[in-house]
Amino acid sequence: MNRTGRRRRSWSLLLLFPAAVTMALLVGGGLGWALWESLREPGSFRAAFTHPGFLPGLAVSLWIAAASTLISTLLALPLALWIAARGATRRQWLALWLPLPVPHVIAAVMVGLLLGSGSVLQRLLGVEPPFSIYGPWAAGAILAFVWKEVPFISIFLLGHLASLPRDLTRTAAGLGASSWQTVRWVLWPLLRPSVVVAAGIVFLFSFAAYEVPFLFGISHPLPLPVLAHQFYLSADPAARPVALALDLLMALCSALLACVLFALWRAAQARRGQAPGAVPRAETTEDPA
Amino acid sequence: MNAPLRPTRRVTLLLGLWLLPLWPLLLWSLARRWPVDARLPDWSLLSWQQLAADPRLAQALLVSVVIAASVSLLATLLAMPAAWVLADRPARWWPLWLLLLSPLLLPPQAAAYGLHRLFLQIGFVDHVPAVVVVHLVPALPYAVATLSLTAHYWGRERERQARSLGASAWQAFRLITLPGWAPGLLNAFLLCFLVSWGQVLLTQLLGGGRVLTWPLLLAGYQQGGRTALVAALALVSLVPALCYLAAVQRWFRQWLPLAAARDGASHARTSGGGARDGLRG
Repeated sequence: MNRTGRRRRSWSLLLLFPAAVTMALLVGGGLGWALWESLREPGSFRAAFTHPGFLPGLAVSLWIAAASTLISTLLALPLALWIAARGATRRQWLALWLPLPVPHVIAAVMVGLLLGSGSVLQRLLGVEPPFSIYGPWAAGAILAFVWKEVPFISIFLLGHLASLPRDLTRTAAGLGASSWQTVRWVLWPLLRPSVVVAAGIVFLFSFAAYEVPFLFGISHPLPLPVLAHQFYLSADPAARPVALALDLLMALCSALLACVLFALWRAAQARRGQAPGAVPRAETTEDPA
Repeated sequence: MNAPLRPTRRVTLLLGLWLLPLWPLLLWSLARRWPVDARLPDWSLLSWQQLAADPRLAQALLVSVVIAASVSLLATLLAMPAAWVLADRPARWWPLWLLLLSPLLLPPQAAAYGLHRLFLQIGFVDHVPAVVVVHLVPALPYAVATLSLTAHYWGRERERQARSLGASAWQAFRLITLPGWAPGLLNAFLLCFLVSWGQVLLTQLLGGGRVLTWPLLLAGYQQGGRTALVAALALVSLVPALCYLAAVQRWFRQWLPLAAARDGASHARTSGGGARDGLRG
């Protein structure tokens, strides 16, 4: 490397420094200190893991995350393809974007008022909702997530669809493919990595979210983030290392899930290369270094 | 796309249905009482009057705005130089991507509990600055991600041209890069504002009940079952979201034809990259 190259590199490091140090101190410091305090108390991890609420809480959190992600993706995928094929008016765009910036707390409140006990729907139309959103299946929390995440996934996928060359679908149609065949054999293989990324972000977020399950009062069993928080707020000082251990176990679960999602993404990327509709990407994101 | 766009009524209907949950807020915020067997509420502006009269609420609103604005300003300023570097050669800096986007993968509160214990040791808790610092954890990844996209699409070619015409590095930054990035910077700022605006758990932890923000009051009234007031509070907290939509709706127009603008941008990028390789060689 010549001298200008070295100078450019040190410049780059200098520019990266503020953000990197801030994040390293906040995340690394937070996780590190939690680890230190929970390990200082022997047996805290064992106590957290063997706590009767841990495995059921993990199961509830996984259920909420899996159901929200699955429903959101299944709704968002056709919506995105539909809008990509037909375009959308300004008002439709506005409606699609609107849930995106709404805080999760507000989404939960809205779903509660619309479908909860003595809900607005029930009062106006006199119909009972067919299921209770406060029930053991956490329907309210799942609906609140779905309401927010369908637009998120749609917009994410539309961003990808917009970057695909236009001729792809037209060529497929010209070769006699039906619209279903175009989606199945041309668009879906190309889109799959983005679906994994968007669904993965939703899954990891809803797995660890505290506010929404808390506001719906899901309590038997308590979702993992709510359980960890209750432990943390407990007046008993002996509970604190256990709370930190619970919190770290939750972070570990998230990290493992993130690894699984990364493997899925890699697989989708690799299969994309073999797909019949694959084209060399117009924009190379990687420089040959 | 050459064929005329045919947005269907069915899409409109579907998206309209999606906005159904907004109506209960409006109805409830205008209710004095709404007995279970009554179809419509007793209309009144009582909850809005309460909202205007309570000084605690005005203060909470102010605190929320101050926190969110400081968080987004800090996050945008921190992310700007990083995004400039990261977007240029994303593959090379992958460990930094992992670090900077880690709060999207790991739960932000995972770090927040440890930070709370750590900050307790040094007495940096229960006030607004502590809350601002902890809100950076969920906000910074959004600033880095969106600004990297901005940097990627804007490229460095224009800046290089300015330099080759004799501009200093500072002039190139101030006159070329900064104006070009302006929409992206606004987007990052607003996104971080919204992220901070919606936080409940992190504020509760580091604020220790002393820092009362709008969503905290809302959650409190929700637990207390004061539905009409909660609805009014919720409607007010939608205001930043609507501001965000108003700011980004200019970009809808670029999305409507869905491809043309992007294709042009990527061509410019590719040829720019080629020119740069030529320069380096």
